[in-house]
Formats: sequence, structure tokens, C-alpha cells
Amino acid sequence: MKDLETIKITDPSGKEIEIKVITVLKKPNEDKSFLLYTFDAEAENVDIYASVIKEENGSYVLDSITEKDDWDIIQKAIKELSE
Amino acid sequence: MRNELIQTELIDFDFHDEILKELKNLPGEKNNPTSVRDMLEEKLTTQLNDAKAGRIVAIIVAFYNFTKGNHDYDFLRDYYKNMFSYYFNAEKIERHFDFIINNDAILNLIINLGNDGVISSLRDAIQRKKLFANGEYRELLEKVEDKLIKSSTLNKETMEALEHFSSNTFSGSDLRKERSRLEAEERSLRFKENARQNAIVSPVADELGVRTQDVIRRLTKKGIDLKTVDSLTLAENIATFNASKVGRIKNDSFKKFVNNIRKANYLRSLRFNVDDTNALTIKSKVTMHDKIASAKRSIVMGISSSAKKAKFGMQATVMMTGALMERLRASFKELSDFYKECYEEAKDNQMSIKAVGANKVGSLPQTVLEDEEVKKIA
Repeated sequence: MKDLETIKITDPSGKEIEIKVITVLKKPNEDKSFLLYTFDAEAENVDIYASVIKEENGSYVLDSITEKDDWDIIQKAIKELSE
Repeated sequence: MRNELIQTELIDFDFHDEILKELKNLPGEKNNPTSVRDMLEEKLTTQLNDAKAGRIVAIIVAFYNFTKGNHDYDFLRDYYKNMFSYYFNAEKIERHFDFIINNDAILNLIINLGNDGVISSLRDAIQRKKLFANGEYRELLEKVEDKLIKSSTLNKETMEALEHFSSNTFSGSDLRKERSRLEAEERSLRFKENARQNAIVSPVADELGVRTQDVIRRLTKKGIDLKTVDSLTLAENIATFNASKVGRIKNDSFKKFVNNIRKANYLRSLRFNVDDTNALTIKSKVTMHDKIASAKRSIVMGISSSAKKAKFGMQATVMMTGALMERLRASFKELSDFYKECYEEAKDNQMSIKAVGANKVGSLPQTVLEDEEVKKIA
């Protein structure tokens, strides 16, 4: 499997961490997108994380997913795409 | 204005009226023994944490008043009696004696909800006061004593049988005292056990953002006896749920998952390229620094800005900058077009993408506790 794209994250102390970007999902008929990512794509069991991508002051920002509806859609997407 | 000490230590009348009003206004679907019992548990659990006796008694009495005369609620009778009697102990009867004997409503409650220990404590107190009382005060004491004697007549036969049975060991008076002592001890133990269980469950409930009582109810339904549990901790998969982890799949499935995404229909639109010169910058959130620097799992917590953090008003945690933003922006437009196509297509041919677009509502947050969510530590 080809490697996933990587985004580096820098914490305030300057330490860099890599996110493996799985994909971006966009909610149909809504201007709402989610970033799906993982930290370790090689693990025996891969943990998948998701964040809402928001635009704030001209920048894109990753924020928490708090809507039940969003959780459901993302989970269903993962399930469908895993089959 | 009602005496504040009475409200705090004996019964909070205002709170009682409030609860009773709430009960009387219960919607039809909630006005049944199961729902009312759950509501009683929930309210008591909240108040037990604060240990305000007057409010706990107010709850018991309000529920008693709401359910009395309805045999569907007979199963709660002993519970009312035990709880009420625990809080109406001899010490409180002594401290608020004059208020009690002058208040018919309280006397009726003692008669209806007090166990033998409570009645006995009140009668003992009356007899002591009578030694030095005269005039109207003595008459009042005798009137109250008569009332208590009459109320206990109904149970006389049972008591006599019990006293006869135990006559080799205790006198009638001794028996009552011994029973009273054992009941008090049992209530004390039960109260402590409830407090212990709450202390164990509360942190887990807080972590999940749900009520303690909800967790207890779920655990009970799953057959877990909290009496045998010393501590609870969230299983890793649930703990990280709060960190926006949406799933864990086996590596083989993950590869398939990624490959599916990359298939022509998906890959073309879903991917976006990122080079090493673009970085995400974590916003300066002092409360997050330690976690971010401490461990990988903590980084996950930071990046995803968990639901837990959201509760405390934390907002975005990671910011994308520079060229990455532009690439994402372009990607979104492409994605938007792509998903519109998929959505329309899915409506026609029931393709899998339909699930993504169909916006069906499931029950994830409510089912968090359903599966192996709590790891019992022996």
C-alpha cells in the first residue's frame, strides 16, 4: 500500500509530530468537511481519528466533532469504505 | 419564612413542593412505576453527593405523597421507609422535638414512613419530657403519644409474635432496641456503600460526559454488581472516543479501506498532496501544552480537541497554514463537486456512498457504554 500523505504538526515547544492523512470527507449538501487521519498506519489495529475542518480568519482549523449526526456519517463512511 | 435549620436537617418543604409539582406534571409516558423509580434514583443520587438531609427527605416524602394509594408503587414502600427512617434518627428527633410534636404533617410522616426505631425514639423522648412537663405542654405530649400508640396497634399482633419468639433472648423492649440498632447499622452501611459506588463511578461518568446514574444503570443492566467493584477505568477505545477517534480497524481492513478511497472514483477527488514544508501549528493553549508534550496519546487528545475539551470551551487546537490551506481549499471544491455527483448517483443505484450522504441518524453517543466500555479492575 502506498504511504499516506503526511502533515507535520508542531507543538508549542517545537516538537514535530506527523499525522497520516487518510482522506477528507465532505458532508453532502453542507459546507462541512472532516479530516480523517491516523498516527500509525502500520499498527496491527489502526486507530482512525477525525476532526472538523473549519475556516477561521482565513485559516483552516481542525476542531472537535461534537454533532452526533457527524459522528454517525463518518462512522458509516468508514464502515462502507472498509467493505 | 420556614426555619432554615428545619429545612436543612429535617425536611426542605420548598424542595418537596417543587418535586411534587414536577411529579404531578409528568407527561403520560413518564408517569409509570419504572420511570418514576428511575427519577427517584436520579434525584437521590444527586442529593446524596451533597449530603443534605433535608433535601433527601423532601424527595422521599414527595415521591411518597405522589405514589401513596397506588398499589403499582407498593414495591417502593420499604425503600421509602428505610430512607426516611435513616434520616429521622433519634438525634434529630431530639434536636427538633418541639417542632415535630407541634406539626401534624411531620407526625403523620413519622407514623407512615418511620420504622419501629423512629417511632420508638419519639416515644422515648416523649416519656422523658413528660417527667418534667405539666399543663398544656404535657397534654400535647400525651396527645402525641396516644397518636403513636394508636398507629402502632395495627402492627401489634406481628410484634407480639416476634417478641414471643425471641423471648428467650430479649425482652420486648430489648428486641425493639436491638432491631433498631441493627436497622440503623444496615442503613449506615448502605449509605456508605452508595457513597463509595458514586465515588467510583463519578469520574468515569465525567469523562464520558454523562450522568453518574446513567452509568450505574448501564452497568447494572450488564449484570455488573458494583458492590464487587473496587475501581473503574475507561477502556482505551472509549477513552480515546473523546479524542475524536472514530474507529479502530485491523490493518488488513485498513489497507482495504484506504485502497477503496483511492480507487478511481475516490482517489481522484479525495486526496490532496502535502509536502514537508507545510506544517500544522498548534494554537497556544496553555492547558494543553503538557498533554501535547507528554505522549503520543496525549497528542491525539490535543489535536482532536475532544468533546471533553469542548465542554470546557476549548475550541480549535490545530491550525493549518500556508500553501496547505490553499491546497485544501482547492481540494474542498473538487470534493464538493465529487460528492454531489456521488450523492445523486447513490440515490439511483444504492451504491455504498449513499450511506455517507444519506445522513441517517444512528446512536453512537448513546451506545458508547454498550460494548466493553468499562474495564473492571480486580
